[in-house]
Amino acid sequence: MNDLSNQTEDFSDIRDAVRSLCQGYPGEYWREKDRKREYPTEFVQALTDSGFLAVLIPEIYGGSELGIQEAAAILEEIHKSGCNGAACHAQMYIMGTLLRHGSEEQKQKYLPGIASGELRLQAFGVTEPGSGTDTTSIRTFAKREGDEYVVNGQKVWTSRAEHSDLMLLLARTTPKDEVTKRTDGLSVFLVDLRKSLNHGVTIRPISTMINHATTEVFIDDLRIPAEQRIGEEGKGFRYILDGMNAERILIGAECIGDSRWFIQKASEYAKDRTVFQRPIGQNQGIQFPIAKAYAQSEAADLMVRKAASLFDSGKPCGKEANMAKLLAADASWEAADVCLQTHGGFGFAEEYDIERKFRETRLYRIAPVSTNLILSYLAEHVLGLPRSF
Amino acid sequence: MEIIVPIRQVPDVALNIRVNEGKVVEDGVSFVISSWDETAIEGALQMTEELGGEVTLLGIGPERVSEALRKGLAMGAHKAIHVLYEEGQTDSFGYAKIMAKVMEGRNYDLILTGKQAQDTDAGLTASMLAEFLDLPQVTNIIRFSDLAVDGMTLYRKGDHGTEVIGIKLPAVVTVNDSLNEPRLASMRGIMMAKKKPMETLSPSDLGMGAEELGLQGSMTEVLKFEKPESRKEGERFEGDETETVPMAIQKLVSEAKLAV
Ligand SMILES: Cc1cc2nc3c(=O)[nH]c(=O)nc-3n(C[C@H](O)[C@H](O)[C@H](O)COP(=O)(O)OP(=O)(O)OC[C@H]3O[C@@H](n4cnc5c(N)ncnc54)[C@H](O)[C@@H]3O)c2cc1C
Repeated sequence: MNDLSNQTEDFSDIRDAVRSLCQGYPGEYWREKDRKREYPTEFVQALTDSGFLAVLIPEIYGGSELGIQEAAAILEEIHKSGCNGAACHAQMYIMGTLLRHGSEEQKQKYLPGIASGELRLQAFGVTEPGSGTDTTSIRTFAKREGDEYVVNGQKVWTSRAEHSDLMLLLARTTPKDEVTKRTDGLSVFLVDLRKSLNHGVTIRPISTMINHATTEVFIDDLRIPAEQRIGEEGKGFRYILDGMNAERILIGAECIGDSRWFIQKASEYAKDRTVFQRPIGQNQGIQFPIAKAYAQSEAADLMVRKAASLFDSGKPCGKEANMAKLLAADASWEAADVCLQTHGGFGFAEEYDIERKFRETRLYRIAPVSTNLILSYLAEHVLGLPRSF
Repeated sequence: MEIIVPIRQVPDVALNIRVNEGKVVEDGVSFVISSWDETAIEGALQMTEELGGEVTLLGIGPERVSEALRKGLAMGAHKAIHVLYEEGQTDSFGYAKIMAKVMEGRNYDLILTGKQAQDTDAGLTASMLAEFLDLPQVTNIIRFSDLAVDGMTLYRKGDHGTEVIGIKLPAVVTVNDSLNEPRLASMRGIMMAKKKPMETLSPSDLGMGAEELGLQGSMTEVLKFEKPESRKEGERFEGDETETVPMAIQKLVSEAKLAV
């Protein structure tokens, strides 16, 4: 398939290496993990050992000091190969908050371990049962007591918490009604889960329609040393925002990878499957939806690339990162639907992997930020329409 | 031990290859290192890891061949030579000639490469190269042992068993893919590869003129490519085997004209 990937730098060396690695993890591997709802430990270990999860970490801390564009190429390639990066993509970018806003001492202490994979920082506790989209309404509260904070609250959908040594936690440090701006009074902490598990932190897995290792995290009188706070107290919301742009771009790249996988599967099947003595792909009723999904995913890819290159050159990219995630998640969902439809009944059979990828890619229209919230951001903050909430 | 590994870049056979008017359509095709050559790179790396020395890759062809060379460097090879050359059509003889020119005046103990290319399956280049260089050659090895800078023991896969062969170096050796499992390039390897030396030569740097290149420098010509006929979908008989087996036999006899 002729794609537009040559438009900007393509990182074919990185893509090749990722593709070769992924060949060791074919459909059967993922089907088995999916069936047993097991964490893909071997795949994550292979990515870690090859250094692919440490690309965004500076060389002085043991990473390869590359940009979001390279990280996006890695995740796109993983998804295009039929694998799923969701089990570990956060190990790439959650450390961004620490890198950009942590003290030198904190960086020295944690980043080398994160780069080698010895320390897993891939859990990010933001969402709560009472506040998903409405982040500033979180209730988890960290109260300062001398050199410590005492934290109480509950997080939900904290993915990979059981497979993480550290968790980035967003908590209120000043009640919402005592701050002038609702985005003030939030702080971020690096919680050492190895020490706090069953000493203030309880993790319960949530069973979902995909194999995602997501959990509920209960926090009761958890004592965190004050030195585990990242940056200044009360500015946490700002700190996580730039990390969110990175996350959106990378999730967008995963969706592009998914789209390409779906479109390739659909095209191949449409050429092979014969009904009424002719390949179904000879019918324009089958061709057009595939072609349309292809056009949409190529267009979305351009936005992902634009956002990534702005991010890497240090320019504002909130608008582009959000649009990238919106368009890419819509494109992959469209491609998934077309792929399933093209396969008819066979698309429902597990052995084709389509139903699994179909379920997996659906997530990205909801998490990490829902489509509606992006539209509302574009409407209010980019187009200047009246505020709705 | 100094090892030169000639590698060939081939279309990725895992993807759909299109043929148009007797030619393979290159547009949109992704290219990879021919798998036997990847095995040769791995073998060479293992040898130099044991004995010291360097692995030099040699690639011939257009700009895109540098990507294959970078990949080999990312696996751990030390340096690369790229004969930059819009090859047109060149056969094994033509490539072996260019390789022989590249080897002139170079220092090497071993030339290690794949037993054949993944796209042509010809399996001729290495033998011709050995002939041009007047070197001993052993093909299709599945193991090596007693490694030393002046010789080693090779295990060659034959039709009816394994030949155990001792050779003196320098020599040309080709590998079977069961020799090893090539390592994956790591991120660190990819980063280091960017800084490794790649020497780019043109055929004229090698003193080769048009009459020695492309079709003119070849002894054979590929007239066209044809895709294999796609296989017709099979027929499935479902139900109790006391009924389906006789039905299948009946079909084999009546349609496939199988004698029972
Ligand atoms: C598998 C999975 C993994 C996740 N991993 C993590 C994680 O690791 N860390 C983490 O912190 N969170 C995680 N999340 C949470 C995710 O970010 C939230 O689910 C998401 O932000 C939406 O929040 P919500 O589920 O509370 O939906 P709600 O906020 O309850 O919204 C429900 C629906 O209403 C819509 N809606 C809400 N308000 C408006 C409005 N004003 N106008 C129009 N529409 C509106 C939303 O778009 C949504 O479609 C994960 C979720 C899932 C399902």
